[in-house]
Amino acid sequence: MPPSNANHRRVIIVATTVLGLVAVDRLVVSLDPELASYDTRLNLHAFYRKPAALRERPMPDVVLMGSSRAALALVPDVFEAGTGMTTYNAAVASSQTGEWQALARRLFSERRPQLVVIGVNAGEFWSNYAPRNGAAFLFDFGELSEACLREGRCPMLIGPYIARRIGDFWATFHRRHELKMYGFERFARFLPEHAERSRSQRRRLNRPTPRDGYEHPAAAGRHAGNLQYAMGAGVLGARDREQAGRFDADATAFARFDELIVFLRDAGIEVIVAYLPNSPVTEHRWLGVEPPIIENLHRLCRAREVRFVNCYDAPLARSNREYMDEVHVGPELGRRISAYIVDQTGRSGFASGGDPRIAGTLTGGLEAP
Amino acid sequence: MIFSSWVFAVFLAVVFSAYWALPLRRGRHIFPLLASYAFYMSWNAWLVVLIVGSTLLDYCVGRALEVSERPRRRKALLALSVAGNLGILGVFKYADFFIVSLRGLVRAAGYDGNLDTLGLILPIGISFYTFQTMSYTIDVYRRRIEPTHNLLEFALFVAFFPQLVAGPIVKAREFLPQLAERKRFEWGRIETGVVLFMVGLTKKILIADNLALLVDPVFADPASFVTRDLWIAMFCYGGQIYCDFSGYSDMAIAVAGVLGYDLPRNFASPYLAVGMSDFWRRWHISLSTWLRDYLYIPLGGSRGGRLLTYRNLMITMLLGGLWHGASWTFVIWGGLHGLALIVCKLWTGIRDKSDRTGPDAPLFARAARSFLPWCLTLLTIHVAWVFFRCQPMTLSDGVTVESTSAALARAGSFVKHLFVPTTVEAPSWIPDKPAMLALLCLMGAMQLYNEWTRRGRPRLVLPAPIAGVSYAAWIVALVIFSADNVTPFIYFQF
Repeated sequence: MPPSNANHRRVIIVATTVLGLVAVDRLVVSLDPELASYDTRLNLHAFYRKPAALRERPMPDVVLMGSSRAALALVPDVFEAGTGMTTYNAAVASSQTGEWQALARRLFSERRPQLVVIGVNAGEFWSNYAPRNGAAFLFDFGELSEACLREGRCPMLIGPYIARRIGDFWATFHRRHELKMYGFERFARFLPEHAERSRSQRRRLNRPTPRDGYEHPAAAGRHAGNLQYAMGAGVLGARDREQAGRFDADATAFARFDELIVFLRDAGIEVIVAYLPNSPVTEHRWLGVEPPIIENLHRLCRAREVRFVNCYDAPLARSNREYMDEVHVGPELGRRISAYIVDQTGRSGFASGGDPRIAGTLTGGLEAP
Repeated sequence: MIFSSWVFAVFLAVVFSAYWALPLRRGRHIFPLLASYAFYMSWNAWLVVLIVGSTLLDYCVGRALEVSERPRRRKALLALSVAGNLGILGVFKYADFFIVSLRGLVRAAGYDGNLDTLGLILPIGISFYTFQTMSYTIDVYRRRIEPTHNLLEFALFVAFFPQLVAGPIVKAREFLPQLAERKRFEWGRIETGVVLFMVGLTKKILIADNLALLVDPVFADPASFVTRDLWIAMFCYGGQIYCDFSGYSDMAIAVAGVLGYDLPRNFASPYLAVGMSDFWRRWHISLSTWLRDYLYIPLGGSRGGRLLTYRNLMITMLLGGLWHGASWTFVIWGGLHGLALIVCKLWTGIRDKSDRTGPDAPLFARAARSFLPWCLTLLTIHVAWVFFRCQPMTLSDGVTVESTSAALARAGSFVKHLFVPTTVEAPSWIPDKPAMLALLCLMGAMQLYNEWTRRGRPRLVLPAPIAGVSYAAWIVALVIFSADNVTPFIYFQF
């Protein structure tokens, strides 16, 4: 084919390809309301749902933050019953200190709670901390750049960040998962298994957000069994062993956590840090690294005059049977841990309706002044 | 930075733009070399020291061979290069394997084997670039090529990023002359490269990564699945590894192509092979030709009679298996292929004496003559893949949680239950079977089309507007149906 004809052909191909993509994009945009019901970001514990719901509600007195450990272990109605203060669980899965910083900046810039309780665990303070998938959803370009400079390469961050930015202007890419689910349900006759999965996912995602942001999968009937049972089957022990890391007092996770506390204090928000314990089998395996991490966290809190509640050493009877897996508590244990935190902070003092910083004069525990 | 990632897309866009904007020929060597080192350092910055070391060693050996005429000195220089490259490979890839194997032998003999492993990380691509540089020094030694006097060009030959981490293994005599040519920007190359890259991407993220979702649970616990599902998983793994590796090769060739370089084809519809020799002329062609030219032929090839030929085949395939990984399961996989090649040679000898099907025989007769061997070849290849796939299980931090004997037992159980029905009371089941079978059919269609064009038949040329709409549909299908999980390329671990 002569060069001019070949170039002419290429131009037509490129032009029709682009036109085709634009046409599909327009179609996807028109279907957006239906597609949105398959959006996995609507998952309760994902990065979008709970913070978004919090923004649309009156700011509670107490906001509970942390990762999935805190999402299950910090039970708002226990805090409310013990303190009389409205409480919301804004903890999100797959988050660590960098993500908590970003969330705090976004949630508390204009409206502020009286108190933030941060549930932490050693698994969020390993020496090789780097922002992960949740940060890719949350971080803006400045935060991404800061993470790359502080934590070095962030391979789990840059790719998803780029994908998110592409999704901002390419609707088909942005809704690729939803299009698949939507298509499966529409072609249920030919793909019954896929259609059923899409249907269940849509129903699960579109449940209303609990008033207090809290839902335990076991209590909601979506998780059966416990750690003791799983250990008998020989499954979870191998998987969780890979989470053990190293302690480094200079790790960026600690520095970021310190910055978070400073940010909250400077915003006039009282802070309580609660160390959430792992299952006994994990504690045994992390015996060399967990205590120094706890001690370092305690030291940071002391330096910033922030109350630290150590549930690791608490007189709370815990068994592997009360854990869903090696690091996530079951519903009953979550309530006991939350009650312990309320009780401990009640001793040092915070009271409903008043400025927590003057509540040190109180000697009571759970009674309202 | 894997080819199917957004980070690589940004990297390639920057490299492509800067490369063609550079006016100087020298700039078009320095810049891709620096980009290649940056690409390699994205995995681990310190490992670039190894590749630079291998480059310098073989460049110097090449220059020394040029001025050496004495056979002993030339042999010593060659031995230095081979020992250096195999030494790097041996230490980083095989040291722990030999230590663990020795420890097992010592303990089996009743002694206390407390030998600690070195725990070295496996540098990515080490199996590929060490073989590539060794081929250079061997060819210089054999006087098949003149050694290069340009260290920059040689370094780029070793480290060129499209083929650095998972091949194709490029021979110096194929690549170095290209570095001397002046590159011109050609839209035809860009068009070919883009389409080939999309083909590779389709194989990787649409077919291979989706098949992996089905394959992984079955191979992790084959005893929980019924015989029918084991067969499905076995063929799905064959599809996965082909699409994963050939998809990577396609993308590597495409990326090199848009930068003006031609890399050799690495796959030629391997699952259409009739006979194991045919399979190895179609699968990982760059490795099989390397093993043929630098191992099989120097051992004697087929020149020493039948028994020696079989010996040479078996040695080549055992070492070829070991090249893939430091595990006895890979060695067994290689051994199975060696055995299959020997059986094929025996069978070919018997068949050629008795076959009366000539070129004038009816098409049906000629097709029937090939169909059964094709089926047997396909079955042999896929049964061998079971051993290739059943590696000792490791966690994400590299800790091995399964012994080699347990992995072998798992593979053996898998193969046994392909032919002996399982009696699982509450079997697990494979979801998405129609989707997986559709993906296998797509893979088959791609191989058939590839074979069609390889035999000189005309390519499918659509009218331009229809081609454009087809590309748009292709891109949309890729976006929607690509797997949610991003898995590393299988051959990166070699």
